[in-house]
Amino acid sequence: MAHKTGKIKPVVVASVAGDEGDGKNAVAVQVCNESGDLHGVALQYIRVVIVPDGPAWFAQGIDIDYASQGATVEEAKTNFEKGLRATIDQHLRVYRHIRGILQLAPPEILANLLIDSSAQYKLYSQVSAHDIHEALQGGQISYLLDEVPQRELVQ
Amino acid sequence: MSNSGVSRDVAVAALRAVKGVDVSIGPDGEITIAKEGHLETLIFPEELEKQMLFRLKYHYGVPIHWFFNPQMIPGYTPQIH
Repeated sequence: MAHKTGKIKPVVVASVAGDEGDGKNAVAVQVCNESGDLHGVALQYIRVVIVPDGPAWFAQGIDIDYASQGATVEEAKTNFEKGLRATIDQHLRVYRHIRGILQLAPPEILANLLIDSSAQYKLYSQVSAHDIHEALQGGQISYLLDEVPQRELVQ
Repeated sequence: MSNSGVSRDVAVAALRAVKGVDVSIGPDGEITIAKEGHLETLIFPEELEKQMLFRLKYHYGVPIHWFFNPQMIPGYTPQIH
């Protein structure tokens, strides 16, 4: 018996594969349902370098151009996770895809970090779900219906 | 403020003063910045250190000297906390 998947038929929208070599290549995949309002984003083996920066810590993605700062290493990692998830959400709402995020960090930004002898290297993975249809809930829907000519509502 | 840190108020004012940069602040203090297709949400601490300032310069073209001389930021008004 065929398995029914309902309305959710995942479509790969964007993906990136990192360098070959150590068996843990950076991977980022975005899938969405057919209507394009439910998105799933999986990031795996994203390299992140964390360096001390004055009294704080700075975390910079290597395979992905995103960064955060925190008072401790743990806070920098937490801010990286929260901020990256929010950034993905913004990209999905504006562009409907995350291709703009799936870029290597510029060499100019990495240059100072990779030579820091106290740099810590981490592998970062996350899976997040994004319902961008939520933005159209409530008042906005009522407003749009008010603007539709009556003859169209009758049909 | 630490010796090297720049307050988030100054950083946000500097970003807003750059032509073509849009800045919005979320309910939890997160800051979404957009310029010419570069779009990201950053969680800023109270003070920004050197690496984050360099990122703002690199991606959004904020002059570094604005951070340390906020009176040079067009339209900047110091905030009283």
